[in-house]
Amino acid sequence: MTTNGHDEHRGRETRLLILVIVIALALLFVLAEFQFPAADRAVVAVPPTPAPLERLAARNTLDEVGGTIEGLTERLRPWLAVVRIDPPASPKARSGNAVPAEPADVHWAPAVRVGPDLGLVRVAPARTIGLVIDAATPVETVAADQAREAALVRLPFAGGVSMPAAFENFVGFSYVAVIEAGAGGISARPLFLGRVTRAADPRWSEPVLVLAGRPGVMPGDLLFSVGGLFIGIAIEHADGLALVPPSALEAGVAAMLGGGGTRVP
Amino acid sequence: MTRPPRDIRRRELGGPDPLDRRLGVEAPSAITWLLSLLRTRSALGLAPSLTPAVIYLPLGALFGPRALGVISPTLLGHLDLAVTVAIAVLGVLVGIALGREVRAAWTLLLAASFESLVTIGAVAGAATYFVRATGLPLEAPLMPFALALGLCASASSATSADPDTEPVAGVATRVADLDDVLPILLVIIAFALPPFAKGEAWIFLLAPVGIGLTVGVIGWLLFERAQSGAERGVYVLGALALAGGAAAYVGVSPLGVGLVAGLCWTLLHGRADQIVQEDLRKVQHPLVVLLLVTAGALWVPSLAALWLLAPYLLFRLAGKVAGAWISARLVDVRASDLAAFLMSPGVLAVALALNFRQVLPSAAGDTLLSTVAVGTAAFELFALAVVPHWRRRRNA
Repeated sequence: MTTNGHDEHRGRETRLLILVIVIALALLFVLAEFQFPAADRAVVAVPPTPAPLERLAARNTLDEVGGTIEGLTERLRPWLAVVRIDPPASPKARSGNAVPAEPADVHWAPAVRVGPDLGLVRVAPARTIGLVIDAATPVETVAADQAREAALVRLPFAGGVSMPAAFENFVGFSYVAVIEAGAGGISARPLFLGRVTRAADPRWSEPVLVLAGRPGVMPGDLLFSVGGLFIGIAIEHADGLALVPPSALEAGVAAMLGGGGTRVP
Repeated sequence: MTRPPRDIRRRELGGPDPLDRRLGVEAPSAITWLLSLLRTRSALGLAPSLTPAVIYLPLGALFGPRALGVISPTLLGHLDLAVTVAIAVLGVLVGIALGREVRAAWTLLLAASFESLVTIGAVAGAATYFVRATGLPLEAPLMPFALALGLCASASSATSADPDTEPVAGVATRVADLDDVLPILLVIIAFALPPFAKGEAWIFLLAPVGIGLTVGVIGWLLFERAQSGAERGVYVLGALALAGGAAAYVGVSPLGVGLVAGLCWTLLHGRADQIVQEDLRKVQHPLVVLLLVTAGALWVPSLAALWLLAPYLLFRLAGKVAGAWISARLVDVRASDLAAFLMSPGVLAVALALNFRQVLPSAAGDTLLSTVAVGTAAFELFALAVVPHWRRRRNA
């Protein structure tokens, strides 16, 4: 190879290198002008990845159940909020003097997201929503429905998050996760649910799932499958405790927002 | 036993077997090659195919939990240890290659390290800027994540090249072998620092060296004393399982442990390296398939992974071209030729991504693996389709 040929090759390669770098930089700067969609920015807290050997090691079944429920609680966190339910306002409070509720009269309920900034919570008759943890104060109640014993509250906006994926046609006889709320936050516990039967409820557009026996669930609790699918919210029914399935909840929420409940200004 | 020919040393994760070449098998036409992929041995990974990543990554995604569900999440969890051992095997192969070249080819090692360092810097820098500019959410600290992406991008495998066709192919293959050394050393350091390390940095820095030396000495003492081939195979596989298992237990990179063990077997007196290489030849193709299928099954389609693909593809290309431009002066080949041969990332890129996925928060790990898996398949296709065509035109 002659020196000239060698130089020519080297010069051509240098030009090629510069061309590639310039194109790469230009494309990078152009692409960097686009912002990542806000709807996909919601970062879901995830538990740390277990080490390979930990995944392989035999585990106690109860430990495994505990781990599953703990992981589920973390996964469901974006869809859940904690709401403080206060007793009826006293005459003093009505007269304008703020009277803190007695601790014994206060209870906490989990709210499930039904939209990016809306949460649905079960509110017993004559009770009021006192506080939504992590939400703006004062509490903004978007709609309330005394017949359905439900209220829609404003939650911090979470882009891309709506109602959790539904468990269609739940037939019972399986382990589920019961989501409960307390002053300390959301918690979950495993529960075996036995027979469920469908029954009509005039308050809801679709049949509710009546739980047989003593189910160990309180009204207002949220039930999820161990895989994380939403089964329903527990309510009181003429035949005992029942679950309102997600499809009925969706219709109920639409009715509440459309004037089917008490629209709170 | 005589020292094996140089081409056996390559990890050829998919390249033609040296034996095939000696028998004078002609390079297959496109149709013949496609048909060969459908044959049982090739499809099962028992025989090499030209670009396994292009075949097995999509296959893994198809059988994975997000498509047919044949490979369940539980099975993937159980496969994790096998993946760790497979990654350790790759480390051993790189260590053996390094051990053989380190005495005679410092220049090659230097050139390969320059080339990989430039690529790491280019991809890590571009990813850092891109993530900051676009507001892309990551569930891991940005700098370690970008470094991990750069390390994955630096891997090269010149296996689509036939080293016998032209001298540059042989040089490129050796550079491709040795350019994995610096990334593995950086992986050892990265695993010793937060957020990857779960304790004192110096412990995590020394642990891979200590485990690798221990495995190396155990293997060195055992391999040549085996009474039969089967017994020797058990010793080799046991040593590799120990390397992968101990690395997983301590929480260090199995690539680093494998590298040190492979280096030991090559540098220590005896023929432990040749024994390991012979025995590994039986399992290395299935292990490659396992790695690729697992990576495919773990592929999570996400917008974040898609966005990261832009800096990964652009700056891996730019980094390889720039790295080759610098390194070519040291090894006396054309920069464009060297860059063309180094385009194929090979399975080591996927192995590095799988390794980082084990220690990153799960969503960030999935994003990294998905970006690297798609990027690897894209570069393999690029190397397969574009590079030979370009080379033919150049030679015409």
